[in-house]
Amino acid sequence: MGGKDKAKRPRLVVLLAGNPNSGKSSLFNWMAGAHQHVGNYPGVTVEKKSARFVRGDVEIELVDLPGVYSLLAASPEEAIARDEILSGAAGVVIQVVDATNLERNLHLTAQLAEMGVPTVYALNMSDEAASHGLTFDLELMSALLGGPVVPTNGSNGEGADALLAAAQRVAAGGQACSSRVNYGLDLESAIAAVAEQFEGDDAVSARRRAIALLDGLSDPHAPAGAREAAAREAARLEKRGGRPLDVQIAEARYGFALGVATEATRESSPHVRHARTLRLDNLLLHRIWGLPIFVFLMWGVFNLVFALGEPPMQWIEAGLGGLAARILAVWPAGAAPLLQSLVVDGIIGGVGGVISFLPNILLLFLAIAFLEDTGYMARVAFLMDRAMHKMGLHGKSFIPMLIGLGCTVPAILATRTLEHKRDRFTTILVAPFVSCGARMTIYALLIPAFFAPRWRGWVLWGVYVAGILAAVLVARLLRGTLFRGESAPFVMELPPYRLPTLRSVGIHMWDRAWMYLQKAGTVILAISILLWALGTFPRRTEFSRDYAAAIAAAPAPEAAAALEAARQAETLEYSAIGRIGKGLEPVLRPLGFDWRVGTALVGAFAAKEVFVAQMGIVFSLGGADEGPERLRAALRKNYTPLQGLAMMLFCLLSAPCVATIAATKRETNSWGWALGMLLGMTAIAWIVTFVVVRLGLALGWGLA
Amino acid sequence: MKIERLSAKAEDYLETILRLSETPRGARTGDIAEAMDVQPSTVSAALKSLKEQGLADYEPYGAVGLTPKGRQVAEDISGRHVALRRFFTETLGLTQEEAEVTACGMEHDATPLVLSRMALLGDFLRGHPGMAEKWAQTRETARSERAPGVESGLDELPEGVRGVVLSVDVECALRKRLVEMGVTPGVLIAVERVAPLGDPIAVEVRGYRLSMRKAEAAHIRVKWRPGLI
Repeated sequence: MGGKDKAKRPRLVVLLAGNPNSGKSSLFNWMAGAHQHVGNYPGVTVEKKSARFVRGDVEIELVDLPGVYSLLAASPEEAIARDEILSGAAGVVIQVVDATNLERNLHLTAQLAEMGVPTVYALNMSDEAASHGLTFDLELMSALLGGPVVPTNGSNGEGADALLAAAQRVAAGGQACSSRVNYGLDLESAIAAVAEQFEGDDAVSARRRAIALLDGLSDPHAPAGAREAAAREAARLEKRGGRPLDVQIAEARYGFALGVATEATRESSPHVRHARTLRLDNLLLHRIWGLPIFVFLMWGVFNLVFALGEPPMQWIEAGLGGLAARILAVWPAGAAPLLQSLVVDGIIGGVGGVISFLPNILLLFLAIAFLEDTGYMARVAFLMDRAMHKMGLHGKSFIPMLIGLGCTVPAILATRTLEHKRDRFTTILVAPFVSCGARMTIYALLIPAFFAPRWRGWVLWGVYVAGILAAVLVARLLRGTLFRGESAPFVMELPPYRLPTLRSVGIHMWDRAWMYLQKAGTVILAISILLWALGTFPRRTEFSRDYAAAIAAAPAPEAAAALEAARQAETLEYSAIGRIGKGLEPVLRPLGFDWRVGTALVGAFAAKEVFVAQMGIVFSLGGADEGPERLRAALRKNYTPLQGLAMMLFCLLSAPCVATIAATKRETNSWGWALGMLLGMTAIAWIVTFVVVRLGLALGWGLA
Repeated sequence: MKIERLSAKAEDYLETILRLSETPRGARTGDIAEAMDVQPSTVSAALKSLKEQGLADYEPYGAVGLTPKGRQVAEDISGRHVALRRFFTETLGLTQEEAEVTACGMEHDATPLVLSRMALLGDFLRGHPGMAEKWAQTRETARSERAPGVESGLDELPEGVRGVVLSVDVECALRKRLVEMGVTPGVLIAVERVAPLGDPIAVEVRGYRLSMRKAEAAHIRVKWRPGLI
């Protein structure tokens, strides 16, 4: 409807660039307000935040680029930032500069200046800098940087509007950033020699591409002449300077940064920069107290996510149960039973599968947003890296693994904090091995069924340790095979501690939760309905006896319930899941599982705890309402402790639940990895369980 | 003081003669020259001067002896030398070689009070093992104080000591990452702390904090600049 209006309005694309921890995102939130939209850049799992709004008579598209330290395109984030800036769509770039850390922030400026786009600078956190005794000569700074400098404050939004106004003014002028890093005589002559080989390019682009080539970046479209010239010049200058050319270029850029920072800063008093951070680190990273404090904080995070998330989760489940009951109540008796089952069991069950995770996920993202925005997340990595690195993981993998003890789905979403693909994927792929809360319900059923009270604690402990051991071994295996190679550098900033605003934490939390609902939620819903269909079709119309009549004639409610349960068991056996369970029997037989276990395992794919309910149904005990003791008795009668142990091991290691697969697909952006995880884990589970069962039999204990 | 101050050189001669005269061969001009690393003719001239001051008995081609006065001076010097050397090695934790050289220089100037206080300090520390250990630790951490200009990997730079980055010698990806974070040759860097598990480390560079694994820090060559804040 507004298409015509929009077409008439001039459009302006504003890119927000800057270092991580420069306060870029909170500034974005102030400028974008409620108009923001979160998604992914096509083909990669890098978050794209953008907002569309009208200011004056211009329609502005504001894009929050990923936070980067440079534009050398070494990581997907850097490549995206670079490509977006160079795409030609951007009318103006705003660089957010952390005033308390000018030197390193201006190193990015040095690279931005080569891009040849109009640039405005947001001197962010200038209030914090003032408390360090730093004031700035804005006029001089803007003369040196070749674009207006606007002081801003990300925590209260000061200057955000002035920043947009300046951006619009500069964009209207169309003047590219006029500052230029002087690389010194030798480098400049080399740059000129390479640049003249780029015949089709304008001067700015030729210079930029020449510097990039000399910096050792690949440029597949560069003319052969340019590449030869770059190689020649690089060899000459490396010999002359006695160090690699990329180091020389970085030195020159930092020279520029230091120069501008020194010129434009007025230091009113001698000061210790970030004294508060230093004091906090002395405590939080203390040689002795650092780890206990860390353990305490992590305990807090875990409890926040799961203990606080439990009641709302139950409300949601109760609410959905109530909804289902109401639908059943008003449903015309006997009408379209299939549709009724689809709505009640399939759709409501599936929706429940999606949103019952929501409280946990919101709280997890709240905790992560808080840890990230305060700066403690980097400390978590700092504290845990040694241990995690030995396991083939990264310090930042710790939080996902910890969260995995509660639920694998938020654990996989938490891998977002890992910057490098190798680390992130390894963590995603091994996270499901950590025993989650849902698997606990399986252990809670099986352990008391098969083991004497004094062994129960040990068995449970053993299963958890087995999961962690499997995660470590698989992580190491992955690092040795699929993700081979030097581990990603750990080089990571320890940002100053800052108190985040409720607003930014809230927005952070909501953005990510919304993404989960949109992307993982739809997949979970679809597969849940599919599993419902598999459990329902083909429908059994002929039973071994006339249950309806028998139930009607049952003398007592107990007898009727027993008959109903038997009918359910027959229905399930006849359904696709039951048939798959039976079909799997030859494969599962070596593990000591019969078709009933197979059926329960297939059902458990919807959610691990379903295993318990399915076992109840196949043993004609009508779900778990009867209390677990009767089911345990049935299990004891039919299986040995070794088979019980095998079931637990298999549930621990085998195919994760649908939601995990969906989250994996979402975070790896590929069905290949998600399905690979499914098959790989199941294969591992089969092998390990097989070995354990055979070993147990050989040792003569178990299959009594 | 009863004994007027002799020249440092004269004291050295007396000390050497005392030491050599305790050997079966006795102190002979050639041996003295060798021990003090000078020409025999120089020794002859010095002996002549000592004889004139009534400190040494000297006959050409014979063994050199000390007068009672000379012996007293020599023993005094030798005692000081031993005391200083002991103080340097045991209390200050210097190497034998460094202690020897420094003792040779200081034995002539240290007043009895200085020597007795040094001895007292040494005795005090020996009597308080806890303090001695603490002092030894302090010494170790500040080892760099006596070693400005040492070059090492950044991982070996002691906590709290500044260094200047000399080079970043590592394959391309890590080097690019390090230099873009500001770890370029010529920049001042300091190790702020080591993680409780022993790795990684946190360094301060260009006014902010950066963490890296020790294995990564090992590729950064630094020149130690103790005392620089």
